[in-house]
Amino acid sequence: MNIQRLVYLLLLTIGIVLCSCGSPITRTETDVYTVTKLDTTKQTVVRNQPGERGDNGVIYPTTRTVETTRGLVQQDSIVKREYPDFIRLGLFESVGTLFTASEGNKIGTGLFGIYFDPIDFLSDKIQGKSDKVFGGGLYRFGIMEYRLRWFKDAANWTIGTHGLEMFYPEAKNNTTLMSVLPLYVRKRYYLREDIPYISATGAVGLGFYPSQYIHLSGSLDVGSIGGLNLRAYAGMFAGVNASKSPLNDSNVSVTTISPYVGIGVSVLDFLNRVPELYTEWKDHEHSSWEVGLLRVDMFKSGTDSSALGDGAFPIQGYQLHIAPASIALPLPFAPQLQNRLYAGTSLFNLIVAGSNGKTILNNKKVSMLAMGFGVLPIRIGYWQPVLPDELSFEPYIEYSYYPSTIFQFGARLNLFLQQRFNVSLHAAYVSSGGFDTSTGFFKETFGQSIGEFSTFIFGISFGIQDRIFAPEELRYNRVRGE
Amino acid sequence: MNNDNTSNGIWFVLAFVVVPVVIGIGKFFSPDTFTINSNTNSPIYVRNLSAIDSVQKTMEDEFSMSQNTKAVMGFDNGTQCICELYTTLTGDSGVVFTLRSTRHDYELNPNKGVEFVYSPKGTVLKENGKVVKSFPDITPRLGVAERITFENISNKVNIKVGCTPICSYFTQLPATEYMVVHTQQYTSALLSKITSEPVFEKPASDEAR
Repeated sequence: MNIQRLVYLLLLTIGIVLCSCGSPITRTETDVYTVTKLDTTKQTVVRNQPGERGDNGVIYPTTRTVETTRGLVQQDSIVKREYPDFIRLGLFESVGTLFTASEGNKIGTGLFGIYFDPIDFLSDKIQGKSDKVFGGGLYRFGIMEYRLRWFKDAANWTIGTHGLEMFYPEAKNNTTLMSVLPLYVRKRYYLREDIPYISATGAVGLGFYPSQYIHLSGSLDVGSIGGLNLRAYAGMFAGVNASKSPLNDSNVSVTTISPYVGIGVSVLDFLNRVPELYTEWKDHEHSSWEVGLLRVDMFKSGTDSSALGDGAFPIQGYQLHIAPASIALPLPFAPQLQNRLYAGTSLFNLIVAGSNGKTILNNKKVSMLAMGFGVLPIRIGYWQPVLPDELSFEPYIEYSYYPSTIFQFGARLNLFLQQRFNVSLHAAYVSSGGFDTSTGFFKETFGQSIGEFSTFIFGISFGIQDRIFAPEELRYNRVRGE
Repeated sequence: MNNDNTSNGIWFVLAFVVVPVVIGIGKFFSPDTFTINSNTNSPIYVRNLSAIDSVQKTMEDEFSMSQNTKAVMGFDNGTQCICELYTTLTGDSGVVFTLRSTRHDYELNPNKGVEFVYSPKGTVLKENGKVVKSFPDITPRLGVAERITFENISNKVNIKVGCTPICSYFTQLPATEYMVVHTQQYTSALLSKITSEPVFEKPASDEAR
């Protein structure tokens, strides 16, 4: 299967899952309360008849009249409540695995499975290596888990699936196990029941197509906080790629039995305990100033030419943060900061600032792409609300250390437009060391050599499926019992 | 990676057929919901709040509940109704019917509402967890279908067991469209011949016509 088809399938699956999210993630309860008010009014009127009434022993009827009015008022009050309807909902999880690859066939997925060498990992032809620690990887896209109420309502069982699950034990197609929408049953034992949760999880999974496999695993999970999770795995994949499987380039079926241990990370991956399924969305606890799917920056930079080609002025470059999260840091020794200091990251950070001309041997001038690419960059910033619920100012420093070094400091002025979309003005100074991409995915995609650069950028950015939280929404700022 | 011969069509089929099916898995394994009396003017939907298959529809006007199981009956016709049902119990712990509560309220605070505890150990009426009246002589016979009638009208709750009106209770709790049924430990229940009749309040001027 080539990379284009894989990407195509991924986008399609994620798109369908996202489009269908209205129903599977929210449970709506509508209750009608009827308040009944009964009211009885008594009106007493005494009209004395004219004339004299002496005490002559004659009994007269009383002139008092009593009018009783009974009223019944019923008012219906309709209450609509929305609750989360999932135990786990995640975008992406990756695990770097140990002991899965034979010598000389290691992929080199790196820690968490994402610190890979981008030169060949994203290409069609992954070369096996022998000097890598993490020989294989496990990747999941579109993770869903729902409460499973079996065994007399036993606690913390879930059933779920992933949009796509891929297990690469080594750099060989035939032994790769992959399935669209595998079925998983999990049982969690919570070791810590406060955010971030810590749990031991046992799982059994079945993959159906294009590989058929069973996956047994145990994991120690930490998270989620701001959609981020860390997991330590031990498990085993046992499955087959049939002779007609698109993963199998031989004429006979290939069996893979691969025990593994691994360390993984997941982003935009939210975990609810059962009591949280009975907490309305509006009352949920949040730990972050910002969590999102994608942040796109378009900016003017100081490079020689635009990355988008001639005529693209004033847009000279762009930057993508995939799955950004800014997690508030509650510092008990500095309450005056009001939890506004944050630590942030994103799954990937790609910046293309434009192109710079560079003179090489023989006075020949070549165009070098001013580009940087980072995995799980570290961002420290300060979130200053300016207008409640609407405008916030965010100075920050961000450092990407792998595969290229990018140092960035700047500030954003964020305008909250709606819960899943916001706009920012962004100014920053960016410095990148560049990296070697003489072959592979980046070379094929961008068609230029990549060089180092340092420039100021100024532009606008859009947070897509990106939510900014107000100070009062942070769990640290809530009054206990509120 | 190799060049596969699989056409794009198969990926489309997988994505468009398998994805929606598996998305439905979450709903499939969520608590069961079914409707009884669906062919009448007063359908009642029943939602299982406990383990899978612990509440099962057995006939059009009947459903069974395992021990220690919660189910909520929702009356489509609104909050005011007269509901009659036959209860067959198998254990000593009895069953609790809770009126004037909702699913949300009940799961967070099971004592909220007007509770009618119908048990061989004695029958009790409670409001918000406090005993209002007790009826030690009113006890169900195990394995025998006993008729209970709930009249939930305005701020009054009338309950009859068999043909005997046992209480007429005024409450300030707002009426809701739900009745929660909770079988206690070691007691399963069969609720049969369930009927509900909506009560519509009419203005006095309508009555005069």
